Amino acid sequence: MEKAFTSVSAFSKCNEGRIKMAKTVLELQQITKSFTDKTKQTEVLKGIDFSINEGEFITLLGASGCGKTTLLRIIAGLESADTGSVLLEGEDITKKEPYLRDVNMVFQNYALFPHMTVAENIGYGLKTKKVPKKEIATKVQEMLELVQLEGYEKRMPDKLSGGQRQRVAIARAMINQPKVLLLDEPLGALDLKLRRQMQLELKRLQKKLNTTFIYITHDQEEAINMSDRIAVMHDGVFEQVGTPNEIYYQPETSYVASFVGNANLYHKADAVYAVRAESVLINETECTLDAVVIEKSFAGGQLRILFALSDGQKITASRFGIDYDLKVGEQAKIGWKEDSAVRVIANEN
Amino acid sequence: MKIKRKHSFSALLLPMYLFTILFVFLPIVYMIYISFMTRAEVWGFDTHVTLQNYMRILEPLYLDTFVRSLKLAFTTTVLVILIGYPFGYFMAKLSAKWKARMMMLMMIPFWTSSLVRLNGWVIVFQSNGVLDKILMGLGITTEPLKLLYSYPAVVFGMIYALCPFMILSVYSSVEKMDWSLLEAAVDLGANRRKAFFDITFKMTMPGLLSGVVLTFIPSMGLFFVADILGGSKVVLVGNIIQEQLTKGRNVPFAAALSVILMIMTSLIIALYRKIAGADANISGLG
Ligand SMILES: Nc1ncnc2c1ncn2[C@@H]1O[C@H](COP(=O)(O)OP(=O)(O)OP(=O)(O)O)[C@@H](O)[C@H]1O
Ligand SMILES: [Mg+2]
Repeated sequence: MEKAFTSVSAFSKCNEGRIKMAKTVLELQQITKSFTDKTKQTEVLKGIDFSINEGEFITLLGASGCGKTTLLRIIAGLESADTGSVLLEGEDITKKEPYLRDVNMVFQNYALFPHMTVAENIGYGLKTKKVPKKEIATKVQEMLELVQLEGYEKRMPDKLSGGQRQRVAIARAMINQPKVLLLDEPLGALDLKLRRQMQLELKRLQKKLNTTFIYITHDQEEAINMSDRIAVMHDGVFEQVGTPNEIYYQPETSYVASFVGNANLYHKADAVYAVRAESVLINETECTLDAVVIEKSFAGGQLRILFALSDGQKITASRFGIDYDLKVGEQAKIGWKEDSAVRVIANEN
Repeated sequence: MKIKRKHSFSALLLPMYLFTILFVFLPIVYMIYISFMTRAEVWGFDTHVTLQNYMRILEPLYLDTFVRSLKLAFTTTVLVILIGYPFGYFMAKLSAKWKARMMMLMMIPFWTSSLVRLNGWVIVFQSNGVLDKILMGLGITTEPLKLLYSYPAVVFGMIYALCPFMILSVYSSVEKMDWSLLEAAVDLGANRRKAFFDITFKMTMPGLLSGVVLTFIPSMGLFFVADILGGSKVVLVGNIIQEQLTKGRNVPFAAALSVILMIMTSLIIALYRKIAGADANISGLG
């Protein structure tokens, strides 16, 4: 009794201090992983070093096939790393069986059990932990309420819409109150409108339950909207980890700059600078570069004007609206304010 | 639009309907008709309606045979499940190359007549046959086992004849498994055993059930297995029907026995449909 009491007070103390001193939940140390396919061996992860704080929303961003799913599977224990360790709240779980890890995953295709009802699906994790039936039923009800699926408990998964399935998958993972929740492109299969709505719901849930999220997405807007920090993966490592602001405005490498938000890469002497399309000025006082318009296109509420510089480099400028007073083939002067060009390490042409 | 499509399909299916009516439905009606007739002096039947044939089935001799056949079918099915399920399961998990090889091995026996193959087993099982020679040669046994013409020999023959159907049926449902479901179960805290029974086993139930139907029903009727490996010691419904048609020359009684056998198998199929129907969401996956 007394023991329980002290642990509760310790917990609330810890909560108070959360803002000042974040607690590390998950630590990845020098994770490497190769796959051997027939005779060819590919090194997918080349030493991932990273630590995540309690309650953080981390997004993994990277090109298709760069190893995002593999990394999540290593954390979940569904795949084993070649070298390196995974630490969960300080405990080394590298060799721990996946069913004993306090980590849950939301699979890309949801992987709902087709022969179980919504309630059975959601309650499965508690059932494996031998939680009394009554308690499971109560918790499942709470979860259903949280994901706004009250009344659906008896439905089978194949009688649900995509968005509903997705919510069941999230509820099924979250009911276990894992220390870390891994989400592999959970909204990837939804249409844009539903995706925007689900993003808000997910973020709300994450804040409410204060769960640590590691989230994979291909959608940069999603990453920027939802994350506390974004990790850009490239060539087997985390090339840059930072807040959405840092990643967007202070890219460290040319890969990060062009992958997130398609920044222009401007080469001058031996240096490379990232310049965002919206920062490119046209025919203003700062403009010193001679350019020719070679293409104009309208996409995503923006007009994109592609210029060719006299030395052959291509620079895109974007403007709101559907047209701009420049024709294809016309000459112009372009440039940018000094502080909107960020010098980056070149690792890509 | 749906209705229109259905119509064009039924036109295509017309030959199949005709075939079914001609070769399945009419013979059954005819058989039921004969089963109510009286036996003729020499061969065939007299058109004299009677219930005598059905009354005769209630005699202990025939009733016992039905019970024995059911027992044998049951034993066979249980053993076929125990052998066939793991076999089919592991076969489905092999690499594509080995799958093809195993499939080949399973198919080769079907290239020869099952009668020939069963007679092969006679050579193996008979007193001082291949099996006895090997066992005695190795010093495991000292006397011939007298395996031929025994109940175990018949069970063996049934398993031998019917196991491939179970294996293939389980194989095809395990093949269709979405293994990420198993990973999801493990991720949610199920150890591998629990994950197997909660997910894989439940989801391959349709395959297992159709394997059961494919085993249980034929094992009540495979009279030649009992004939060849059981001699006169093991008599099944199938044997009696065959005997009544040939030696007994009692066509109406053979028809009545067949009708009862058919009703029994239909009941089993109905039961299967009911179980499979209750799990419609599982079979719907396939
Ligand atoms: N079991 C496996 N065997 C062999 N190669 C694999 C295996 N799993 C993954 N790979 C390879 O490892 C690389 C990384 O795969 P992974 O699924 O982690 O990529 P990803 O970043 O999640 O990609 P996506 O964004 O397309 O989902 C890929 O090149 C893939 O082909
Ligand atoms: Mg992936």
